[in-house]
Amino acid sequence: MRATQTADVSLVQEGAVLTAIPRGRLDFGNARSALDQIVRALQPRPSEVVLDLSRITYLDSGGGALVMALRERLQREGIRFFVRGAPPNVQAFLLLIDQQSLRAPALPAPVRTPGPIMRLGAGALKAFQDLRELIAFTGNLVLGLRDALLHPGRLRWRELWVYMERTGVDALPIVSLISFLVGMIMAFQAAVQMAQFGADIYVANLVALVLVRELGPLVTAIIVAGRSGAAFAAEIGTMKVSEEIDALHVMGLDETRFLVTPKVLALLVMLPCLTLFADLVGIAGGLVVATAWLDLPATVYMRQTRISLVPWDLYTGLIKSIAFSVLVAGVGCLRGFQAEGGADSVGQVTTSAVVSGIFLIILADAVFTVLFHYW
Amino acid sequence: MGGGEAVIRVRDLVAGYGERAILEGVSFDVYRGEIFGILGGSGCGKSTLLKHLIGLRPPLGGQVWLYGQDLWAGTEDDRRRLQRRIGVLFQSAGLLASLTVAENVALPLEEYTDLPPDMIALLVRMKLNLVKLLGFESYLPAEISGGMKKRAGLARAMALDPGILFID
Repeated sequence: MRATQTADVSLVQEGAVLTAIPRGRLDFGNARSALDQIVRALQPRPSEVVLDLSRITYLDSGGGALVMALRERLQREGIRFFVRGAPPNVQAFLLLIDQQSLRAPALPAPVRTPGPIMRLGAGALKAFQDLRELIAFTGNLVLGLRDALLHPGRLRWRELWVYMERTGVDALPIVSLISFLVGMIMAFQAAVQMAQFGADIYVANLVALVLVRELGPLVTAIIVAGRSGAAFAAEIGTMKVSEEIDALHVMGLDETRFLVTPKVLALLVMLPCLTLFADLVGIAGGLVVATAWLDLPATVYMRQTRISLVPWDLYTGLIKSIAFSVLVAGVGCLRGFQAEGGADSVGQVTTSAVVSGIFLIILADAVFTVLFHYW
Repeated sequence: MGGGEAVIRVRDLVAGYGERAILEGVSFDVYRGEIFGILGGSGCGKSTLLKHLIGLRPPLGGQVWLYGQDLWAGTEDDRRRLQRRIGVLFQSAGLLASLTVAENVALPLEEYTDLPPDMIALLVRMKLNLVKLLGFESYLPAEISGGMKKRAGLARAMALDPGILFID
């Protein structure tokens, strides 16, 4: 919604002197129009321009900027410029605008886009700093968890329940939906191939084994990284930029005990629970496809599922989900502590928490898969 | 008390959030040229009252007139037109973190006027000069002190020469 009004400006050319006489208001709404009218009248080029302000009734900063812009432009072009007839209040306003100081050069902005060598050095330093922070953070986290186990009374239980609800119970709908769909997709893809060999019944084995050992923990952890890891980073990041964490520091309180331990413990409990739930729902997805598409009776499918699984399959999935929970919560909190400055920094650390979380989950999953293979 | 018509007129205002009234029966007039302060203990509802006065949150009851127009009676567009004629300095300055100090001050000028960029730059420097921040045009809010942020917020609040300046 831009103000565009035409200024009422009379232009009188007397020899080499151009007199501009604006009438009425000279404000934000018509300053551009006034400037354009005066600049158009500079052909033929006068030797002197007089701005007669005796007929104006109101002048705001927009009008003031017009006077200054005109003065600067005419000075550049070597044309003399005078203001005359300004009412006392307008004169006072124009005097308030200290043109000399306005021409002072701005301070150079702090360097934000350094050259490639500086970027390389800064990147190396940041990587080193990240590593140091990671080690310190891991140490604090281990101490925090140890304290929570040794002195459960000191744990902030109220926060722990809240985070368990947020990270676990509230995640049930999305985890259910995605696991069910993953189970269905796997069963459908397997059914198409296995039906060719009359091995339809083994769809149950494939769905159960892949879900319980691999995809159940993996998909659940990735969902939780996107939900809770990001939420942890945003929450702590916002606290950091609004100096809440500094306040905890100066009160002599340990931010790990206050902010990190409840979150990590909550995920440590809830992610394995969610993983078990995802396994069950995923198997149910496979069951739906097997009964609807392959005409397998539900009892046969479930018996085959039971036969294909041994307790160790379940344990491997749970061990993975426990490790993923520490990674997701830890990296979310760590990134939150790395926020600096303002809101944009909170956005950056939140993105970084999700990206790092997913990367670490997949890396850890690969390591576990190899370990369990040789175990 | 000043003379003439009140630029802010508040009658029987009930300030609060949701269903919860914090202040009731608030009535006062503020006249052109007047400096009007609202004092009170922490949590007594000063900022809540301000939010009703600047069109951010509808009051639970009563009326607010700015320049003789009922702020909450008209449409959203009517309210926006009135909001263009006021300046607000928030407690935390409210500067946009991704914009430099100059860009923050220039924002209302670019949005609400058709002035060319060189005149806007001149106006930005005028406003920054008024709050003694000339020279810091290229700095981001995160690169200046808390007091300087407040002053930059004041320069932005004054960018369009508002007839009423609210300072929280």
